[in-house]
Amino acid sequence: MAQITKELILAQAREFGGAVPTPERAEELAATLNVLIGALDEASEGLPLEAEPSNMARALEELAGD
Amino acid sequence: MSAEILNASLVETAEAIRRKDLSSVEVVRASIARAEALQPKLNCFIQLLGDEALADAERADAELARGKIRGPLHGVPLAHKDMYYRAGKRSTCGTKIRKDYIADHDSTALKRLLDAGSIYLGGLNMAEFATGPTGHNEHWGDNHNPWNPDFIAGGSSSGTGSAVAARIVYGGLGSDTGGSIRIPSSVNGLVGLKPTNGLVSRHGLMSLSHTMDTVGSLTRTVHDNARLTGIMAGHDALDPTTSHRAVPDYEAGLNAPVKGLRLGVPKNYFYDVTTPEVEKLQQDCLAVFRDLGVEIVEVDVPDMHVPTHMSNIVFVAEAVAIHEKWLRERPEDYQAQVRSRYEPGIYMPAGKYLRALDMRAKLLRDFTETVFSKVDVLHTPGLSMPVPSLADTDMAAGQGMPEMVARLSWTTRSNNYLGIPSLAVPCGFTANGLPAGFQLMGRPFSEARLFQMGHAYQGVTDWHTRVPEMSA
Repeated sequence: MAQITKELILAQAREFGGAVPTPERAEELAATLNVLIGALDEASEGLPLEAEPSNMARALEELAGD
Repeated sequence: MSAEILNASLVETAEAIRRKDLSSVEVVRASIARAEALQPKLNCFIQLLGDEALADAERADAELARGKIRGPLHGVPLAHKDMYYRAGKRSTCGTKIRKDYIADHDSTALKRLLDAGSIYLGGLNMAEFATGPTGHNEHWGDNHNPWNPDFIAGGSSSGTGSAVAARIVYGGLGSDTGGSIRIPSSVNGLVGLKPTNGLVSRHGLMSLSHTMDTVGSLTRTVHDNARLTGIMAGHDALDPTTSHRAVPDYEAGLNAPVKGLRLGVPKNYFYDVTTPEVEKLQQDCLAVFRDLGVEIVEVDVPDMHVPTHMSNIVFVAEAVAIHEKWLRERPEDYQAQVRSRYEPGIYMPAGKYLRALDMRAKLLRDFTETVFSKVDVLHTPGLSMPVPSLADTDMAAGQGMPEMVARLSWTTRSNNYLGIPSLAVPCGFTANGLPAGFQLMGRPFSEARLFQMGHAYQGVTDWHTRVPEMSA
């Protein structure tokens, strides 16, 4: 996925309203998001999107132990 | 006499009231007196409802005189994080944004505790909107640690940690989305359970991140915690995500022998940022388990940075969904640190959030199969460092704040994403005089096993009987 940039953050922030981040803060936010998204992309690479909301509840039940 | 009453455990006090050795009025009066005496030092209450509690105690004593016992908490005063709703009553959620919020329905968890006979002493201080591991609160004032008021009470269930450790009440509700029960438990020398997701209803409380929020209690002993958990746990039609599994009798299983059980010690991740002083206390703790006949087994765990990152993706997206309107319309009304925690969620792509949720079951299976195929329970530090001071962690949204949050929740955050139960138990004190603790983690719905292990440890140690000087 394309990197999230400071410019993208600032453009979205103007649309969102509220407190618009400074350019420095926008840079920090972009860096934070890119770390998180990078970790997700790496962990999910090659895996299908199962799109089944009950998977987690079923896994908890199936893996239950005493 | 007051100290003698309040220093007893929840279970002991409930039995004393039931036997009529003590009246609920005596106990509640002692609680109110201590709450009033310590509030200027600890600031652990947002709402102290002494008159209401005393009236309820009088009613409890009258009922007992007539032979009516409401349940296993009859007449026992508790106080709770100020985010559990009672219809028609105020619930501030630790923020000025909801300072006058009146709930129109009851929290299921709280109602079950009240139906079991407990007395509601008040709403406790907390991090704003349950966001933050230190107990700083610009709206209601910072919460202080009873072992030394210059130090943090932890968060986000700060007031519960502080009030229970100060022996004002015998236990209380916290909530845990990334460590908010376990961190204040470790910091204040208490027992705290983050239950399996789906064990306890989340109906009727302020949500922070609805797929990872969990409801649990902070107490002084494992036995006390087992009692409160047993009362709260179980399916609730008002929270369809709760499990239909039968709830075990946690108290009945406490004394089962632990000899021969396998206790895992992680070779990777969990000790990466642990200070030598805290690590030494963990080694001492493991030696106690070894003496109890528990087999100590070193285990490799999956890379915990992955579920931690996933939990952060889910957290920011879900928190912003709740806070969007206020973040647009009144951003200045948030504490800077709290707003900065939600801010990334404004820009998190929805597809990434859904992908992170989709990965959850797979990462849970990986973790469970990797770890719990080799051991029964995993043992980790509760907090990786000695309890820090309020001054050292007062950094608003400035430089170093994300790192500080990450370090305080190093051992806790991933478990909310994985959904597994985790029990914090005290295991000593560091050189600064503040408590330290360990954490037990198990398979989903293995709370009985965690209670059994924690109770065995408390049976041969006395950390949980130590009392802060201000409450002695």
